[in-house]
Amino acid sequence: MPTKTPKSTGKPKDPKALRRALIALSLGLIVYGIYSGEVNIVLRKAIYMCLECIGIG
Amino acid sequence: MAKKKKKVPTRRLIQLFWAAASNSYVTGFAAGKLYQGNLKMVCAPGLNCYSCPGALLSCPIGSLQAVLGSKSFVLSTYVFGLLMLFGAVLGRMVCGFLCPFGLIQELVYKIPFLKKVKSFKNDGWARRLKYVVLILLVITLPIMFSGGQDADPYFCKYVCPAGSLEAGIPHVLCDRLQAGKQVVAPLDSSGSLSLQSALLTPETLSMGRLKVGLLYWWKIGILALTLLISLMTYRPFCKYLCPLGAFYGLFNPLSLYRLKYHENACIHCSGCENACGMGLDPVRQTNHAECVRCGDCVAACPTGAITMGFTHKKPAERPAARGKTPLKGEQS
Ligand code: SF4
Ligand code: SF4
Repeated sequence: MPTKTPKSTGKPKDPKALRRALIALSLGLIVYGIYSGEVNIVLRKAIYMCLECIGIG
Repeated sequence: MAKKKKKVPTRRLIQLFWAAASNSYVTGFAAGKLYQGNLKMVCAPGLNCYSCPGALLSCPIGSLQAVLGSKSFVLSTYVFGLLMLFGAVLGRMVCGFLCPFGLIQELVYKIPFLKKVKSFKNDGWARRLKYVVLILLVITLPIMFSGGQDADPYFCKYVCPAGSLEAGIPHVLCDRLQAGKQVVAPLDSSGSLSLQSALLTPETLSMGRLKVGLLYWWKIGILALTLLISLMTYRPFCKYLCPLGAFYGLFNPLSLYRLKYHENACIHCSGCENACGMGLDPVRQTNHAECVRCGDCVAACPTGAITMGFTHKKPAERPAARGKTPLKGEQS
Protein backbone atom coordinates (compact mmCIF):
# COMPACT_ATOMS: atom_id res chain seq x y z
CA MET A 1 0.00 0.00 0.00
CA PRO A 2 1.27 3.46 -0.78
CA THR A 3 1.97 5.61 2.24
CA LYS A 4 -0.04 8.79 2.52
CA THR A 5 2.99 10.92 1.91
CA PRO A 6 2.74 14.67 1.34
CA LYS A 7 1.77 15.57 -2.20
CA SER A 8 4.56 15.89 -4.70
CA THR A 9 6.17 19.29 -4.55
CA GLY A 10 5.31 19.95 -8.18
CA LYS A 11 6.19 18.45 -11.54
CA PRO A 12 7.30 21.06 -14.02
CA LYS A 13 6.92 19.60 -17.52
CA ASP A 14 10.38 20.61 -18.56
CA PRO A 15 12.40 21.67 -15.57
CA LYS A 16 15.57 22.12 -17.63
CA ALA A 17 15.38 25.90 -17.78
CA LEU A 18 14.60 26.21 -14.08
CA ARG A 19 17.40 23.79 -13.24
CA ARG A 20 19.91 25.73 -15.30
CA ALA A 21 18.81 28.97 -13.66
CA LEU A 22 19.19 27.39 -10.22
CA ILE A 23 22.65 26.04 -11.01
CA ALA A 24 23.74 29.46 -12.29
CA LEU A 25 22.26 31.17 -9.23
CA SER A 26 23.89 28.73 -6.85
CA LEU A 27 27.31 29.23 -8.50
CA GLY A 28 26.84 32.98 -8.16
CA LEU A 29 25.93 32.61 -4.49
CA ILE A 30 28.94 30.38 -3.82
CA VAL A 31 31.34 32.85 -5.45
CA TYR A 32 29.78 35.76 -3.55
CA GLY A 33 30.01 33.78 -0.29
CA ILE A 34 33.69 33.03 -0.86
CA TYR A 35 34.35 36.66 -1.77
CA SER A 36 32.58 37.96 1.34
CA GLY A 37 34.62 35.76 3.67
CA GLU A 38 31.85 33.37 4.67
CA VAL A 39 34.13 30.38 4.17
CA ASN A 40 36.28 31.55 7.06
CA ILE A 41 33.36 31.13 9.43
CA VAL A 42 32.68 27.67 8.03
CA LEU A 43 36.33 26.73 8.44
CA ARG A 44 36.62 28.21 11.93
CA LYS A 45 33.57 26.33 13.12
CA ALA A 46 34.71 23.07 11.53
CA ILE A 47 38.30 22.85 12.75
CA TYR A 48 37.58 23.24 16.45
CA MET A 49 35.58 20.70 18.39
CA CYS A 50 31.92 21.74 18.37
CA LEU A 51 30.77 21.11 21.92
CA GLU A 52 27.12 21.42 20.90
CA CYS A 53 27.52 18.65 18.33
CA ILE A 54 29.11 16.41 20.92
CA GLY A 55 26.38 17.21 23.40
CA ILE A 56 28.36 18.92 26.12
CA GLY A 57 28.13 22.53 24.94
CA MET B 1 17.15 -8.41 -15.40
CA ALA B 2 20.37 -9.85 -14.07
CA LYS B 3 22.16 -6.68 -15.09
CA LYS B 4 19.70 -4.51 -13.15
CA LYS B 5 20.14 -6.47 -9.93
CA LYS B 6 23.73 -5.23 -9.80
CA LYS B 7 22.50 -1.72 -9.05
CA VAL B 8 21.90 -2.30 -5.36
CA PRO B 9 25.39 -3.55 -4.47
CA THR B 10 26.89 -0.76 -6.55
CA ARG B 11 24.99 1.82 -4.54
CA ARG B 12 26.05 0.18 -1.29
CA LEU B 13 29.68 0.24 -2.42
CA ILE B 14 29.43 3.92 -3.24
CA GLN B 15 27.82 4.60 0.14
CA LEU B 16 30.56 2.71 1.98
CA PHE B 17 33.33 4.25 -0.07
CA TRP B 18 32.04 7.79 0.43
CA ALA B 19 31.45 7.33 4.17
CA ALA B 20 34.99 5.97 4.60
CA ALA B 21 36.69 8.45 2.27
CA SER B 22 35.06 11.53 3.73
CA ASN B 23 35.94 10.37 7.26
CA SER B 24 39.42 9.11 6.57
CA TYR B 25 41.48 11.30 8.90
CA VAL B 26 42.72 8.32 10.90
CA THR B 27 44.99 10.39 13.17
CA GLY B 28 41.86 12.09 14.46
CA PHE B 29 40.43 8.81 15.74
CA ALA B 30 43.72 7.80 17.30
CA ALA B 31 44.35 11.09 19.10
CA GLY B 32 40.82 12.46 19.55
CA LYS B 33 41.67 15.44 17.35
CA LEU B 34 40.08 17.06 14.32
CA TYR B 35 41.38 17.57 10.81
CA GLN B 36 42.19 21.26 10.44
CA GLY B 37 43.08 21.59 6.77
CA ASN B 38 41.50 23.75 4.10
CA LEU B 39 39.24 20.98 2.80
CA LYS B 40 36.99 21.82 5.72
CA MET B 41 35.99 25.01 3.92
CA VAL B 42 33.87 22.74 1.71
CA CYS B 43 30.62 21.23 2.92
CA ALA B 44 29.95 17.55 2.40
CA PRO B 45 26.71 16.91 0.51
CA GLY B 46 25.27 14.63 3.22
CA LEU B 47 24.82 14.88 6.97
CA ASN B 48 28.34 14.32 8.31
CA CYS B 49 29.37 15.92 11.60
CA TYR B 50 32.45 18.11 11.20
CA SER B 51 33.45 17.27 14.74
CA CYS B 52 33.80 13.62 13.77
CA PRO B 53 37.51 12.91 14.39
CA GLY B 54 37.83 11.51 10.87
CA ALA B 55 35.86 14.17 8.98
CA LEU B 56 37.66 15.88 6.10
CA LEU B 57 34.73 18.09 5.09
CA SER B 58 32.23 20.31 6.89
CA CYS B 59 28.67 19.47 7.77
CA PRO B 60 26.30 21.56 5.64
CA ILE B 61 23.66 21.89 8.36
CA GLY B 62 26.22 22.77 11.03
CA SER B 63 27.85 25.30 8.70
CA LEU B 64 24.52 26.86 7.80
CA GLN B 65 23.69 27.39 11.48
CA ALA B 66 27.19 28.69 12.18
CA VAL B 67 26.96 31.36 9.48
CA LEU B 68 23.33 32.31 10.11
CA GLY B 69 24.03 32.48 13.83
CA SER B 70 27.22 34.49 13.50
CA LYS B 71 27.07 38.16 14.29
CA SER B 72 28.94 39.02 11.08
CA PHE B 73 26.47 37.55 8.57
CA VAL B 74 22.71 37.88 8.12
CA LEU B 75 22.43 35.34 5.32
CA SER B 76 24.57 32.47 4.18
CA THR B 77 25.06 32.71 0.44
CA TYR B 78 27.97 30.25 0.38
CA VAL B 79 26.28 27.38 2.20
CA PHE B 80 22.89 28.01 0.59
CA GLY B 81 24.63 28.15 -2.79
CA LEU B 82 26.37 24.83 -2.19
CA LEU B 83 23.16 23.19 -0.99
CA MET B 84 21.26 24.53 -4.01
CA LEU B 85 23.95 23.22 -6.33
CA PHE B 86 23.83 19.75 -4.76
CA GLY B 87 20.03 19.90 -4.86
CA ALA B 88 19.76 21.01 -8.49
CA VAL B 89 22.27 18.45 -9.75
CA LEU B 90 21.69 15.47 -7.45
CA GLY B 91 18.50 16.08 -5.45
CA ARG B 92 18.05 13.42 -2.80
CA MET B 93 20.48 11.17 -4.59
CA VAL B 94 22.73 12.61 -1.89
CA CYS B 95 20.57 10.73 0.64
CA GLY B 96 20.67 7.48 -1.28
CA PHE B 97 24.39 7.51 -2.06
CA LEU B 98 26.39 10.11 -0.15
CA CYS B 99 25.11 10.32 3.41
CA PRO B 100 26.82 8.24 6.10
CA PHE B 101 23.91 8.60 8.50
CA GLY B 102 21.47 7.41 5.86
CA LEU B 103 23.71 4.39 5.30
CA ILE B 104 23.78 3.59 9.02
CA GLN B 105 19.99 3.64 9.23
CA GLU B 106 19.73 1.40 6.17
CA LEU B 107 22.17 -1.12 7.65
CA VAL B 108 20.27 -1.20 10.94
CA TYR B 109 17.02 -1.75 9.03
CA LYS B 110 18.60 -4.84 7.44
CA ILE B 111 18.77 -6.51 10.87
CA PRO B 112 15.83 -8.95 11.19
CA PHE B 113 13.20 -7.71 13.64
CA LEU B 114 9.82 -8.91 14.84
CA LYS B 115 7.85 -6.42 12.79
CA LYS B 116 8.80 -4.06 10.01
CA VAL B 117 6.47 -1.08 9.75
CA LYS B 118 6.09 0.59 6.37
CA SER B 119 3.50 3.17 7.21
CA PHE B 120 1.08 4.31 9.90
CA LYS B 121 -1.86 6.67 10.24
CA ASN B 122 -0.79 10.29 9.77
CA ASP B 123 2.60 9.22 8.43
CA GLY B 124 2.33 11.89 5.75
CA TRP B 125 1.80 14.60 8.35
CA ALA B 126 4.63 13.31 10.52
CA ARG B 127 6.99 13.67 7.56
CA ARG B 128 6.33 17.38 7.51
CA LEU B 129 8.10 17.65 10.85
CA LYS B 130 11.47 17.83 9.10
CA TYR B 131 10.43 21.06 7.40
CA VAL B 132 9.63 22.53 10.83
CA VAL B 133 13.08 21.42 12.02
CA LEU B 134 14.69 23.09 8.99
CA ILE B 135 12.80 26.36 9.26
CA LEU B 136 12.77 26.67 13.03
CA LEU B 137 15.94 25.10 14.42
CA VAL B 138 18.32 25.50 11.50
CA ILE B 139 17.26 28.86 10.05
CA THR B 140 15.01 30.96 12.30
CA LEU B 141 16.43 30.48 15.79
CA PRO B 142 20.10 31.01 14.84
CA ILE B 143 19.15 34.21 12.97
CA MET B 144 16.94 35.42 15.86
CA PHE B 145 19.56 34.93 18.55
CA SER B 146 22.63 36.17 16.69
CA GLY B 147 22.54 39.68 18.15
CA GLY B 148 25.62 40.63 20.17
CA GLN B 149 27.15 37.15 20.10
CA ASP B 150 27.11 33.99 18.01
CA ALA B 151 23.93 31.97 18.43
CA ASP B 152 23.82 28.30 19.36
CA PRO B 153 23.45 25.76 16.55
CA TYR B 154 20.08 24.60 17.87
CA PHE B 155 19.70 21.53 15.67
CA CYS B 156 23.20 20.30 16.50
CA LYS B 157 22.79 21.04 20.17
CA TYR B 158 19.38 19.53 20.85
CA VAL B 159 18.60 17.05 18.09
CA CYS B 160 21.32 15.78 15.75
CA PRO B 161 21.90 12.05 16.39
CA ALA B 162 24.62 12.00 13.72
CA GLY B 163 26.64 14.40 15.89
CA SER B 164 26.32 12.09 18.87
CA LEU B 165 27.28 9.01 16.89
CA GLU B 166 30.10 10.46 14.81
CA ALA B 167 31.51 13.00 17.30
CA GLY B 168 30.02 12.69 20.78
CA ILE B 169 30.74 9.02 21.38
CA PRO B 170 34.23 8.91 19.78
CA HIS B 171 35.45 12.05 21.56
CA VAL B 172 34.12 11.06 24.97
CA LEU B 173 35.56 7.55 24.56
CA CYS B 174 38.91 8.97 23.53
CA ASP B 175 38.84 11.40 26.41
CA ARG B 176 38.06 8.67 28.92
CA LEU B 177 40.76 6.44 27.48
CA GLN B 178 43.34 9.18 27.83
CA ALA B 179 42.17 9.99 31.37
CA GLY B 180 42.11 6.28 32.15
CA LYS B 181 45.68 5.85 30.94
CA GLN B 182 46.86 8.33 33.52
CA VAL B 183 44.89 6.74 36.36
CA VAL B 184 45.02 3.07 35.52
CA ALA B 185 48.33 2.62 33.75
CA PRO B 186 50.42 2.80 36.94
CA LEU B 187 48.26 0.01 38.37
CA ASP B 188 48.49 -2.14 35.26
CA SER B 189 51.60 -4.31 35.52
CA SER B 190 51.67 -5.15 31.81
CA GLY B 191 51.54 -1.49 30.91
CA SER B 192 48.61 -2.13 28.57
CA LEU B 193 45.24 -0.57 29.05
CA SER B 194 42.03 -2.45 28.50
CA LEU B 195 38.96 -0.55 27.39
CA GLN B 196 37.07 -1.88 30.37
CA SER B 197 39.57 -0.70 32.93
CA ALA B 198 39.76 2.68 31.26
CA LEU B 199 36.05 3.23 31.11
CA LEU B 200 34.54 1.65 34.13
CA THR B 201 36.56 2.75 37.11
CA PRO B 202 35.00 5.54 39.21
CA GLU B 203 38.22 7.53 38.80
CA THR B 204 38.14 7.55 35.03
CA LEU B 205 34.42 8.24 34.83
CA SER B 206 34.86 11.46 36.72
CA MET B 207 38.21 12.45 35.27
CA GLY B 208 38.16 13.36 31.56
CA ARG B 209 38.29 16.88 30.19
CA LEU B 210 34.85 16.52 28.61
CA LYS B 211 32.21 16.80 31.28
CA VAL B 212 29.25 14.71 30.28
CA GLY B 213 25.88 16.03 31.44
CA LEU B 214 22.16 15.87 30.81
CA LEU B 215 22.45 17.29 27.29
CA TYR B 216 24.86 14.55 26.29
CA TRP B 217 22.52 11.82 27.52
CA TRP B 218 19.53 13.56 25.92
CA LYS B 219 21.26 13.38 22.55
CA ILE B 220 22.41 9.81 23.15
CA GLY B 221 18.75 9.04 23.89
CA ILE B 222 17.70 10.52 20.52
CA LEU B 223 20.40 8.47 18.81
CA ALA B 224 19.35 5.27 20.58
CA LEU B 225 15.71 5.89 19.70
CA THR B 226 16.61 6.59 16.07
CA LEU B 227 18.56 3.34 15.82
CA LEU B 228 15.84 1.39 17.60
CA ILE B 229 13.14 2.72 15.26
CA SER B 230 15.47 2.02 12.32
CA LEU B 231 15.13 -1.65 13.21
CA MET B 232 11.42 -1.39 12.48
CA THR B 233 11.10 1.21 9.77
CA TYR B 234 13.25 2.33 6.86
CA ARG B 235 15.29 5.51 7.50
CA PRO B 236 13.10 7.11 10.21
CA PHE B 237 15.41 10.08 10.75
CA CYS B 238 15.38 10.81 7.01
CA LYS B 239 11.60 10.56 6.88
CA TYR B 240 10.70 12.64 9.90
CA LEU B 241 13.52 14.82 11.17
CA CYS B 242 16.37 15.51 8.79
CA PRO B 243 16.51 19.17 7.72
CA LEU B 244 18.96 18.34 4.94
CA GLY B 245 16.64 15.74 3.45
CA ALA B 246 13.84 18.31 3.68
CA PHE B 247 15.92 20.84 1.76
CA TYR B 248 17.04 18.45 -0.98
CA GLY B 249 13.51 17.08 -1.29
CA LEU B 250 12.40 20.47 -2.59
CA PHE B 251 14.77 19.97 -5.54
CA ASN B 252 13.77 16.39 -6.35
CA PRO B 253 11.20 17.31 -9.02
CA LEU B 254 13.80 19.19 -11.05
CA SER B 255 17.18 17.71 -10.19
CA LEU B 256 19.38 16.50 -13.02
CA TYR B 257 19.78 13.04 -11.46
CA ARG B 258 16.25 11.73 -11.50
CA LEU B 259 13.82 8.89 -11.98
CA LYS B 260 11.95 8.46 -15.22
CA TYR B 261 8.78 6.49 -15.58
CA HIS B 262 8.20 4.93 -19.00
CA GLU B 263 4.49 4.38 -19.24
CA ASN B 264 4.77 2.32 -22.41
CA ALA B 265 6.80 -0.38 -20.68
CA CYS B 266 4.78 -0.55 -17.46
CA ILE B 267 2.62 -3.62 -16.77
CA HIS B 268 1.16 -2.17 -13.52
CA CYS B 269 2.33 -5.03 -11.35
CA SER B 270 2.96 -2.75 -8.31
CA GLY B 271 6.42 -4.25 -7.88
CA CYS B 272 8.00 -0.81 -7.59
CA GLU B 273 5.47 0.35 -5.04
CA ASN B 274 6.02 -2.72 -2.88
CA ALA B 275 9.78 -2.30 -3.07
CA CYS B 276 9.88 1.36 -2.03
CA GLY B 277 11.08 1.73 1.55
CA MET B 278 9.99 5.36 1.60
CA GLY B 279 6.38 4.29 1.02
CA LEU B 280 5.98 5.89 -2.40
CA ASP B 281 4.27 4.70 -5.52
CA PRO B 282 6.97 5.56 -8.07
CA VAL B 283 4.43 5.39 -10.91
CA ARG B 284 2.27 8.19 -9.56
CA GLN B 285 4.90 9.89 -7.42
CA THR B 286 7.95 9.85 -9.66
CA ASN B 287 10.56 12.26 -8.30
CA HIS B 288 8.54 12.95 -5.16
CA ALA B 289 10.26 14.97 -2.42
CA GLU B 290 10.45 11.83 -0.27
CA CYS B 291 12.33 9.76 -2.86
CA VAL B 292 15.91 9.11 -1.73
CA ARG B 293 16.95 7.66 -5.12
CA CYS B 294 17.75 4.28 -3.61
CA GLY B 295 16.85 2.58 -6.89
CA ASP B 296 14.94 -0.26 -5.22
CA CYS B 297 11.96 0.42 -7.50
CA VAL B 298 14.24 0.32 -10.53
CA ALA B 299 15.62 -3.04 -9.45
CA ALA B 300 12.15 -4.39 -8.71
CA CYS B 301 10.60 -3.45 -12.04
CA PRO B 302 10.46 -6.53 -14.31
CA THR B 303 10.21 -4.49 -17.52
CA GLY B 304 12.61 -1.63 -16.87
CA ALA B 305 9.74 0.87 -16.85
CA ILE B 306 11.53 3.01 -14.29
CA THR B 307 15.03 4.28 -14.93
CA MET B 308 17.26 6.37 -12.72
CA GLY B 309 20.25 8.50 -13.61
CA PHE B 310 21.44 11.65 -15.35
CA THR B 311 20.29 10.28 -18.70
CA HIS B 312 17.62 7.71 -19.54
CA LYS B 313 17.38 4.99 -22.15
CA LYS B 314 13.92 4.10 -23.37
CA PRO B 315 13.02 0.52 -22.43
CA ALA B 316 11.23 -1.87 -24.78
CA GLU B 317 7.44 -1.44 -24.90
CA ARG B 318 5.37 -3.73 -22.68
CA PRO B 319 3.97 -6.91 -24.26
CA ALA B 320 0.58 -5.84 -25.65
CA ALA B 321 -1.22 -8.86 -24.20
CA ARG B 322 -0.19 -7.96 -20.66
CA GLY B 323 -0.94 -4.27 -20.91
CA LYS B 324 -3.65 -2.85 -18.71
CA THR B 325 -5.48 0.42 -18.61
CA PRO B 326 -3.00 3.14 -17.64
CA LEU B 327 -3.39 4.61 -14.18
CA LYS B 328 -4.75 8.08 -13.78
CA GLY B 329 -2.08 10.69 -13.20
CA GLU B 330 0.73 8.66 -14.74
CA GLN B 331 3.65 10.75 -15.78
CA SER B 332 7.01 10.44 -17.33
S1 SF4 C 1 17.60 12.65 4.94
FE1 SF4 C 1 19.36 13.48 6.06
S2 SF4 C 1 20.20 11.78 7.26
FE2 SF4 C 1 18.84 10.93 5.68
S3 SF4 C 1 20.19 10.47 4.00
FE3 SF4 C 1 19.35 12.51 3.59
S4 SF4 C 1 20.86 13.94 4.47
FE4 SF4 C 1 21.29 11.91 5.32
S1 SF4 D 1 10.69 5.80 -5.45
FE1 SF4 D 1 12.27 4.25 -5.98
S2 SF4 D 1 14.24 5.34 -5.82
FE2 SF4 D 1 12.68 6.56 -4.73
S3 SF4 D 1 12.81 5.95 -2.59
FE3 SF4 D 1 11.20 4.70 -3.57
S4 SF4 D 1 12.26 2.83 -4.27
FE4 SF4 D 1 13.86 4.37 -3.81
